[in-house]
Amino acid sequence: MQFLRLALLNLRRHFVRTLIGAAGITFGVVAMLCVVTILQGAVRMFERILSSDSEIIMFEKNVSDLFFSNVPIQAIDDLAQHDLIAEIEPALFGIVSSPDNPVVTCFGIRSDSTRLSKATWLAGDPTNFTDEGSLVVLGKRAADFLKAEIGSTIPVGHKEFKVAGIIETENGFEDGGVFMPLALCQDYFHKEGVASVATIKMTDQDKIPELKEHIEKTYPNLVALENEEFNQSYSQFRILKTTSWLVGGIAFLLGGLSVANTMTLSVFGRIREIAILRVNGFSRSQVASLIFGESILISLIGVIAGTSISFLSLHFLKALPALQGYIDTELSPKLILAVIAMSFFTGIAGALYPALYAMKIKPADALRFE
Amino acid sequence: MIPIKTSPIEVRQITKSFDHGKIQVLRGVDVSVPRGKLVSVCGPSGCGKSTLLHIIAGIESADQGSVVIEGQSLDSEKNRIEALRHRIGFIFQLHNLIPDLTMEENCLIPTIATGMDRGEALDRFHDLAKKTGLSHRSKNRIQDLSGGERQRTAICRALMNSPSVVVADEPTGALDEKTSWSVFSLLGDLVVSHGVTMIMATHDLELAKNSDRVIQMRDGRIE
Repeated sequence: MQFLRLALLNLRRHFVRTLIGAAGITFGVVAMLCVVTILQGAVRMFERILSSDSEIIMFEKNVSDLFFSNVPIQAIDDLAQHDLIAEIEPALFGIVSSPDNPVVTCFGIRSDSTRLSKATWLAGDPTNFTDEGSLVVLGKRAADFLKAEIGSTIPVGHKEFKVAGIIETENGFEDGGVFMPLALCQDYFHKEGVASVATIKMTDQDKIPELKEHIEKTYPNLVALENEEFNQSYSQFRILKTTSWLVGGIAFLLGGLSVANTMTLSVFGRIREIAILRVNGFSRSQVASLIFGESILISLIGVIAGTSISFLSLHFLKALPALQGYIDTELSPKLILAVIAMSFFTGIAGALYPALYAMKIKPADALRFE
Repeated sequence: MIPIKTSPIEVRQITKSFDHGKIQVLRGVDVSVPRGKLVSVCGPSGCGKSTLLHIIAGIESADQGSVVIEGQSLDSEKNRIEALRHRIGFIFQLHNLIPDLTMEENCLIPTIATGMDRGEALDRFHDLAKKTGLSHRSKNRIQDLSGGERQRTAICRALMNSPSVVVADEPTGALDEKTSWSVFSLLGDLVVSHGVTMIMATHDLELAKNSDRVIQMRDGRIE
């Protein structure tokens, strides 16, 4: 306890130095938590768009991006008759731009799609969205940025569509999207007779392997994966996840270098003081422990400040109208634990050289020459 | 148990050189200080007084010879640390206190090394602060203290772990005459009241005359 008190006292005495060291860790923690949370939140949103509350997702084999996947509607309709399938839902994805918005996501769906039935209808009548019709439904955010209301005509890419309804979903990407009848979407994107994916709900979840085997045998160009399996293997998700950890990790490394720099300067500036400690009975290991303790405390301050700033920043970003629904502010406990562990490690690694240097200080020489 | 008649400070044939043997500072020094006595080491600058005291305190190691403090040889790092923690208190000429800590915080440093309970350490500190006349300055930072007060703080710190041996390297060297005498008499009182054995380097022959024994050094040898 006395030891901890001395470490805290030293940090207080060198307040600016402590602040600079802790700021490095703080920025590392903020970068890590925000980048990972935002990107993984985006991945989760994509996952939800793709899986649409189903158990299996079916798409074309060997495509790296689902926008390029072609699943024949005939295959989907045939599979709909299978005993193990309770529901099968095609979805065609496309991206276009409108005059003021570079990215507008289009979803080609059937009128009985759960994407519509589970959404909150803010305006319009669901019965006006028909498979053969040409009316579209907008997500709430899309309606906002396209300044659309029921009955208005909106430009989507090179065509204009009349709005039949406005819905609100929990998913930012869907909220910023345009829902078209599947046939209209196929025609618009020149993808007649195909969907990007089909999501499948099972009648018996224990028989998923059996259905997967059936699909692979009957349709060699298609692949069926359980949602979790898909999330692990889809290359876009893997790239996003890896990028988020990499960016966060590099930011953390920079924070660690800041701690190392702070502690090194701190030891160089306290050679005489360390010699005084040695003359007063401090062993080499006690001196090293003091340096490590100070470094870990700096990291701890950085973690607390960084986590608080991240929490506030994410909530601020979530509240921004332009990002509403796109930011997932849920800081996962696993991520926070990982950040704490990394901070602890950074604190130790950052103090390694300064501690070794401090251990080598010869008290008599230091007091004689410093 | 330490035999009563054993000298708490036993130095035998100490040699020490610097710069890879080019500068010979101590050339076979023998010192023995009886229990409860104050011994002064005098001599011109560069004669090896400070080096001898550093070696006796375990701050520096000798090239050859042996140092035994309270029956324990200081021949290993472990023994030297153990001695600095429990048996030896060291007082420097330039006090060597940490300037931006308070007097109390400076004095508690040796108790942190030994892991002494804070309550016990504070009791000990208050007792010593009273004896050194610094109770009213305990919360003051070192830079706010006078030279004499700083040296008395250093004495207070040296006695925190109740050492039986105090090694003082010119403790009055940076003080004016009046303050020197006040610090010296404080050291003398502490030797008597705490039963401490003390070896002190000094340039001041007048002070040295008031110690129990005076050792004269020249060119790394005792005359």
